[in-house]
Amino acid sequence: MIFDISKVFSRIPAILRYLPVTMELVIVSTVFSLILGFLIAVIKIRRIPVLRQLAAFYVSFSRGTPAIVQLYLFFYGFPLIFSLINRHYGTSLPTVAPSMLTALVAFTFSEASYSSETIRAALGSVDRGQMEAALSIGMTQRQAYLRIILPEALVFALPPFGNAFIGQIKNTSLAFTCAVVEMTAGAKLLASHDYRFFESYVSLAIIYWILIIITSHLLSLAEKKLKRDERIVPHDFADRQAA
Amino acid sequence: MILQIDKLRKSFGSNEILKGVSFSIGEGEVLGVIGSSGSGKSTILRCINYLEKPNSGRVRFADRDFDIETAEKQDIRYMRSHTAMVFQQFNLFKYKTALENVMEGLLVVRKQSKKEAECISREILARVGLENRMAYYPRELSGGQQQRVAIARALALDPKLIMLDEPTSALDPEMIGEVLDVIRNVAKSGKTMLIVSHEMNFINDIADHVLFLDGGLIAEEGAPSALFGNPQQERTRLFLRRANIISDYSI
Ligand SMILES: Nc1ncnc2c1ncn2[C@@H]1O[C@H](COP(=O)(O)OP(=O)(O)OP(=O)(O)O)[C@@H](O)[C@H]1O
Ligand SMILES: [Mg+2]
Repeated sequence: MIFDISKVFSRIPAILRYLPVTMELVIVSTVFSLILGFLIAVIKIRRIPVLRQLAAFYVSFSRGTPAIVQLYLFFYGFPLIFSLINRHYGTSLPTVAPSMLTALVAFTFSEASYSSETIRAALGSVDRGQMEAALSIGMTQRQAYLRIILPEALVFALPPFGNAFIGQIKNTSLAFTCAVVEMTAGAKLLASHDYRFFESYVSLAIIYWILIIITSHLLSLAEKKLKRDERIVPHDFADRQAA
Repeated sequence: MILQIDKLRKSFGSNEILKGVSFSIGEGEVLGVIGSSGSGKSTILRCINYLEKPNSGRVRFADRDFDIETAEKQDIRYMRSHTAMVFQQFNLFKYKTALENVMEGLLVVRKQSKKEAECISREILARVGLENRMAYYPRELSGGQQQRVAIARALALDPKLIMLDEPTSALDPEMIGEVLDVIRNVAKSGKTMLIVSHEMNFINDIADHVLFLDGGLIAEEGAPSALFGNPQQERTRLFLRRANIISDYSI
């Protein structure tokens, strides 16, 4: 048989066994890239000397090179640096890069440069008057950030964050460069046993596609929820509810 | 005296905006501030609650007395939590309903329970005529309604002083009246107020004392009847004539 459709369906559950690896890559690297991105955004907004130049250099490099190249740099760079350290200090750090960790670090670094720009723009999008109003009623700067500014910035940032998250799901297919077996590598592996490469990749494509459709849907639900003030509810109804 | 400001100075870079402004407000008094655009009216208000950091001067407010140059964090916190401000652009919290806007300070600053805060907020919103708009978001309200919510938000904290910075300047003409009425009622209830406005008739009507700010200093001050009716300084007369008010009195 040239194309075995039944293989496509039977392969799906087999590939799905690698879904947790893909999701771990996506979620962990997204969380850390948000934290790192926030720090970089603060460094830029506060114009902290030295750190600001470092951050600018890093953002420029990270955005100016392909993700796959960055993965290779981390994968082959770590062992080099580790063996240098071992030679100088007599330590015994591993000289083969731990694959999952390397992929997570590399994805975090490549994603954080984008998140930092999004976070900076989002904080900048909040009207200054909101902070002033919060301070003027006696809130502390911290309270104002947590209760007023960040929630407003989040509304602005959610669509770009969502796009980045979806991009990140697809990017994880590059993790094979660090010898991580996630869904794409798994599909290839499975195919190498029965040479059904095309069927395997069709299954893989279907899985990614559905995964991303679900994610987009969840994101747009979240967006609607955040933009509370753009509801379409009859006003007197809303008032009766509040009363 | 609830508030006494001594020799308040403020520069932006090399540009000195306030060159030693002194004034005081008695309890329950309404102080009006007038002056041409750029004369530093907003800056005075914003220095009092430290939205701008003043350069020097002395502040006596309720039982506090401190020098601006050596002001501590607690002084700033005291000023902010015992004054409230109404802004020209309303500055309501965008993703909070009218009710939530008014409750916010009670919950976060006064640490009241949700029930208590809601009860007080409903009462105050009713007082500014918004009993039917509690669950509305700012973008669902007219300018006049938004400004009334902002006044309610300021009132909720029961501040010792309410500062209003041109509260009607951003409003369509047909909405100015409703907001001025609310402010008038607040004044009648005995609240101490510091109000900057271009509505000369309103200031004349509501203020106990008026400052005319010019060139970074108080050029002239007095009771509204004196300041508007019989200004002593040439530049006050010039300003009032430009503001097209003097004709109302000189005839
Ligand atoms: N953050 C700032 N940085 C630099 N200059 C400022 C700043 N804020 C105000 N100024 C300047 O200070 C001067 C006084 O401003 P202020 O807003 O107090 O005037 P105002 O009397 O309230 O005027 P208006 O009637 O137009 O509101 C203006 O010349 C303004 O350009
Ligand atoms: Mg002003």
